Amino acid sequence: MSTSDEKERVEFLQGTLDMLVLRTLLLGPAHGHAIAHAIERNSDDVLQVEQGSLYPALHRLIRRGWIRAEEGTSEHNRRAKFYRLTARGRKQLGIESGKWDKFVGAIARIMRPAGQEADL
Amino acid sequence: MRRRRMEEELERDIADHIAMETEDNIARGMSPQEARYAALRKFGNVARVKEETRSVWRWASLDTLLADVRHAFRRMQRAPGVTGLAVLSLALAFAPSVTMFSVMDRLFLTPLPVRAPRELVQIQFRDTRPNAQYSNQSVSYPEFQDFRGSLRSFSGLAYQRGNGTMVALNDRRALVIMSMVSEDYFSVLGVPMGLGPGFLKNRPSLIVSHRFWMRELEGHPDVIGQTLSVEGQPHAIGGVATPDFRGTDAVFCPDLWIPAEVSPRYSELKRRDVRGGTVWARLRPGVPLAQAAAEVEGVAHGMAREWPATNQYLTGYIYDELAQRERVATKVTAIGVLLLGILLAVACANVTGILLARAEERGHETAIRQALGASRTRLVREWVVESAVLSTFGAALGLAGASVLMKWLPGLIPSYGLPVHLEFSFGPRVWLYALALVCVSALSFGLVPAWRGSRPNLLSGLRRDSAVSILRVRVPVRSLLIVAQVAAAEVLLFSAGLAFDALSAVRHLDLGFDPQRPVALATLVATGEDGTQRQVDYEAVRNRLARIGGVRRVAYGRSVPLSGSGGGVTFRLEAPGKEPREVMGAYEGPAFLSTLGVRILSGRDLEASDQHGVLVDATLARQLDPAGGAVGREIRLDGAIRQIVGVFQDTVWGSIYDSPRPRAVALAPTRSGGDVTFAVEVAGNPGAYMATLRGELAAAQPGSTVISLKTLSQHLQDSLDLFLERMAMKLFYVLGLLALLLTAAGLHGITAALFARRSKEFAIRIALGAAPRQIMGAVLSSSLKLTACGLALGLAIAFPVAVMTASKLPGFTPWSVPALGLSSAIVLAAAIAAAAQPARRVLRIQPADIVRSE
Repeated sequence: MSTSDEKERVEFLQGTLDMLVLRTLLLGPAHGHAIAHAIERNSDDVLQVEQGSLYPALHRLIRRGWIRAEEGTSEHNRRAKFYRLTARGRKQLGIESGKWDKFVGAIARIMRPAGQEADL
Repeated sequence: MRRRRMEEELERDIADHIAMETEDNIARGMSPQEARYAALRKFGNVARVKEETRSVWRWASLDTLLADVRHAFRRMQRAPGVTGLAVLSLALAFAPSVTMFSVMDRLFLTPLPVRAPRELVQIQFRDTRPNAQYSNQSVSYPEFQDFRGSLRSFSGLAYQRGNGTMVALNDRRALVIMSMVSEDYFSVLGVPMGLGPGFLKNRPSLIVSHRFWMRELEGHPDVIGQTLSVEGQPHAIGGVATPDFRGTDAVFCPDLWIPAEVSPRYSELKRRDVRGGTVWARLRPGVPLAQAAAEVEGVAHGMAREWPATNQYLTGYIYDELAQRERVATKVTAIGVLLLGILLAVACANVTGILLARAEERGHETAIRQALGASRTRLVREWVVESAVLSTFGAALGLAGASVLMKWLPGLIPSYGLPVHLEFSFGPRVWLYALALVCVSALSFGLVPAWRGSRPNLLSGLRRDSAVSILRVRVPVRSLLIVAQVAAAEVLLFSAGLAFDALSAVRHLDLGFDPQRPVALATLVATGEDGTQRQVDYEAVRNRLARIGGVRRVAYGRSVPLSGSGGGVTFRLEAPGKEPREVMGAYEGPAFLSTLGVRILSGRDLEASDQHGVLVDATLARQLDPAGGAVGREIRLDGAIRQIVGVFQDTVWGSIYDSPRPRAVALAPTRSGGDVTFAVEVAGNPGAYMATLRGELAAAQPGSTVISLKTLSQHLQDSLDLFLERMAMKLFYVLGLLALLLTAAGLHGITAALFARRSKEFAIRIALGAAPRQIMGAVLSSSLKLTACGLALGLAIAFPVAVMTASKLPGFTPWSVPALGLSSAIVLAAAIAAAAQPARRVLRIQPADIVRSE
């Protein structure tokens, strides 16, 4: 198990896992284990993926045509399934991150209104 | 193939993932075993991940469905007894439901295959006199011609009148139903020909029904132009109707259509006072109904002025026959589906009970599967699939039963010598209904146990001994089901008892004649070699039959009481000081009424010399002379003066449910064409004379056909009224017994479940010294309490309905002790029998065994 404090961990919002997978694959094709690790590492271990839940998400993205699966060789020099972003996936990521920015901005404005220090 | 590859890939993907995580963990310094456990923990529930991933795949639903079906089969194999009980319950409900629906489909739901049926109406007459015997009058052929010549609101008018008739087919004779129609009948209705051009212009022709073509003409396509002899007149076959056109009546399906003007009965049809025809009229598009109605009324007024003798009191109106049929069909179908729904509900309730018990048994298994990651949707779906498989089996068995019933049913319907072609089969609507039954039943008994059985209840589910608590709430539900079943069975059996009562009451009704007399009735029609109707010498036949040993008396008549249709003729009656009017009547031979046991109240029966005599019934005699001096008076019948020679008691000629109508009986000629009935009074059992009579009739009148030969009591049994009553009684009995069987199965199930649930408690109580018999009594009484509630509910429903029905039927009373007592006793006995078997298990409890096994 990870060493980070339990209180610091954040559950995934509905649908955000898909976006994070797409974002991770923007950097290049990766296999499932690498994707899970990338998400955890890049979020400073705040986001803990229950790694299994990655697979239904990956297959959902394949079905929508946003990513593609192909055979490849992992860093440990073994055969693994690699997932690659498609052109449509790239476009979708643009849409998703736009929506995400708006969402985050809106939440932020409510939580910390301009000129007012939060006393949280 | 693809599916398997996907599965393998997913499997490998997950294995790779866990392997990589394990390697990472080892690299972080964990022991290999520790590393692997950590990787598995981090990954989560592998089975659930696979399941969720599979549900993303597009074809997954179909594939898991197949898996579910296979699973359902395996589970059913493991419990063949329970499965058999459930399938049988369903089949018992399906078979009669589908059969009855196919009857409704054939009689009420099959639309006439005509073009634009909304434009089709009928034209009829209404008698405007307030005391008219029949307020509605049909149209005669000349009147139809007048209507067709004058009416502008309609694009076409068609005439149709049906009759049973003899035709000569090559070298044999057949009795068929002939429909006499106007020559544009098919084109006005917009019915296409199946084969051939239709009626021919230049010579007498006819159109045969598809059925007749297949049966009698072997479906040969070259029959067009061939000649068929109808009552001696040759007609060329001009066409064969399509299979779906069976005429415009639901029950009487013509075999032949003949243009009225070339038909053998035209001499009769062209009389203005011979009504009985149906006029179909097609409204011109855009013409308002009110305008058309006004025109019809106007033309009828014109006829009344021109032909005062026949039309003086008649006004014409438009009757929307098809809309009326639709209304009747809707009502009948709604009632029918509702009644059949009760039966189905009982069966479903029963199966629900069985499945609930299994849900309870499988609580442990379900809990394990939920712990292993099976989603609730998945579990519910499995249950529903299992129910669907069950109801499909039930439906298959039920449909097989229905197809047997459908073949068997038409044979039960008396045809009175007429070739009534009633066939019931699986049409598209019947299939749809059967499909709906399967779906409704599968959902109704699938969802409840599924929901209950799949309710997440890990802790208590996993502890074997407390599997009970999963379904704690179900007890009132199951009890309600049983109460409803008992009530349904009681309603049906009580109704059957009342119908039986009504039937025996009919036997004691005063019909006017005496059905117990040792009399045989033989009805025959004489035809020549070519199919022409021959005259029958009634006296000669009578003398021949009278010489048979054991025969006491022979009489002949043209119309027999209780012949359904009412039989006989209409006389125009003129009596001094009275308004002329029409009365029902008949032509009978000397002493015909006395032979049937009709009492002559005053005067005497007709004798051979009574050419100018007449008999009247008590009702007419009272109307002619309230003081009771009718005998000896003179009246005019159809213009001829006749003297009343006797008064006979009121006799039921048509239906026992009709109020008595005044009737006159005049002497029949000694020889004539048409059908005639000989009443043969014998010493001893008339049934023993049938073969002799048949032989003597054939010898006395070569070429005659005996349409019916039966005893007088058989004639009463075969009458339409009694037939319908008997059918109703049988139907109630069959349905009631089915419901009872289902109820018994349900009670057995609930008692068995009660025992299973509390066997441990019983064991402990017995160990502590309770008497097993006492406990058994408690188990039994809990079932019997439900039965008692059901009985009370059933009677509360049935009784008010019976009271309402009683006002409409003679000899019918809802206060029937036998019906009430017997039906309740049967239900109670069945309940005790069903509950006793599982309850007796209490006696076999070995406390030590049960307590130890926990």
